[in-house]
Amino acid sequence: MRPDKEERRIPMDILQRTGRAGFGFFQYLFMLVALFYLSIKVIWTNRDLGQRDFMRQVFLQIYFTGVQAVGPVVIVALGVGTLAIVSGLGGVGGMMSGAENIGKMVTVVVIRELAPLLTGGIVIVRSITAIAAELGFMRVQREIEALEAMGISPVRQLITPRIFGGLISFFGLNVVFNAVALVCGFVVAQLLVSIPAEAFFSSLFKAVTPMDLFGLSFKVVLGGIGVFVIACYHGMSVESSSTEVPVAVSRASLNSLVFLLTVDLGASFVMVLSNDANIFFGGMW
Amino acid sequence: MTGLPCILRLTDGLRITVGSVVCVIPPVRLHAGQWMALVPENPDPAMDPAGTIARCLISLHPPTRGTVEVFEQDVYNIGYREVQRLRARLGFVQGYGGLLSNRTIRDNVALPVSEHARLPLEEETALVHRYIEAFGLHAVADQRPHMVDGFTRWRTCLARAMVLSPAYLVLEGIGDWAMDSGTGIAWRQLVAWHQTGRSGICICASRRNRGFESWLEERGGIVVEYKERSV
Repeated sequence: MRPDKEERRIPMDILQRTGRAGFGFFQYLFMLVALFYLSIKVIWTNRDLGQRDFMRQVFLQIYFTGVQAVGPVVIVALGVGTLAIVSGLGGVGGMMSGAENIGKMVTVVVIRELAPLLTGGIVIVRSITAIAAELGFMRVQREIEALEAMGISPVRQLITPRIFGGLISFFGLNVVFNAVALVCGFVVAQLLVSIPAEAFFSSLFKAVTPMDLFGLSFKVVLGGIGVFVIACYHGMSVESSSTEVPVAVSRASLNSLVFLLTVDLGASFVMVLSNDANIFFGGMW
Repeated sequence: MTGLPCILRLTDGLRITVGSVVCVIPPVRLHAGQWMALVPENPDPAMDPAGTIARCLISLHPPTRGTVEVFEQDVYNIGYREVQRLRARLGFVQGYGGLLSNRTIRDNVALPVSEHARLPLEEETALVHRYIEAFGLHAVADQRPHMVDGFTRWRTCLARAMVLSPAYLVLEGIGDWAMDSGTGIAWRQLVAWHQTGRSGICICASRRNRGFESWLEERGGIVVEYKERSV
């Protein structure tokens, strides 16, 4: 029996919706890449403009995103450092005792996974929302137009400093997070099982491979660029109504979080695969 | 006026669409040392096309038909970088101020100087200070735009537009409160700047103000009437 018209329409509808969503996703990705490209290009094309104000904007962004976030990052890092050691000595440590395994545990938990993710979370909560809201309101109040009227590129004045200042801050915050978490881990380990400093740190440095550092840098750089580009894109997407601003903020923070998780997951997956390949090829990788 | 450089030329039956209304602007030439007011012939109280017209004259809003030439360049047929260079030579005063809310009044005035003039810091500071004083903004220089009243914001915007001595100045939809016909501090600066003869000044108004128009004509200004037609 042939399906009637209504029944045949449903699969077409699903196909159309899927197609539209897929097209929309690639269009969105293209816009993000284009915005990042533009933010770099304006540095060259507007090189005849003054650099003083541009640099001031970059430093201001570093202050807002980096310096002001040191407190929350230190608090979270203290918690994570403690948790990593307590878990290492307790539940997991039952199976993996000894200073060497604790070093490995801290490396895997803190450096590979939690540092970029939790620092990214703090940056999203504090800065991504702020950037999207600020740019959105600037659009509503026609401040972007005022910049255009003065012959000043809004991308150079607002977006490039936020992306580069934000990226530098994100990198710095990761360094702070790792340092605090590792030192805190050592202090807790000392208090609980009196592991000698030499043994703890040598196990730590032995456990950290160049691949770990590369993976961390990759997550920080790609994740950092991505979240700040997303924030700027959604902020600049606001057109004329202030009711669009909360929508832009919520989309910016959610999409940034999804992007950061995807980058983290992808990088971790590649690292695990490369580790397996290394074992398989007898350490040639 | 043939000897003086042409600042603005509107030709080919300029038409600008604003919502459901088309503004038909007659051919106009504005030379250095002239000032001009663009006013509606029969203003529609429901419409405010002055802002859109002002934006059209500085390459921010393309016309439906016609040509807009600024400094003898067709502003809608040149590249973005050329447009940016052209805009750096003009001043635009938005009706509501259009100041950057994340900067102080002083930083707003300093922005075009630090971007386009590239002066040493001492000279930049001195220039900005001179304009802050001239426009009576000294007391509020370190405040942000939302902390001051509308007229102060407008004065700041005028100071910012004039700080680089532009060859072409466009003022958008000035309200009655700002049309104090040369008596206020901002207008005194504007008149003084006009008297140097280096700049063409264009004022886009949303409605008629006979007092202001006759004041302008007494000082050699021209009043150009445009028609509003329903689409």
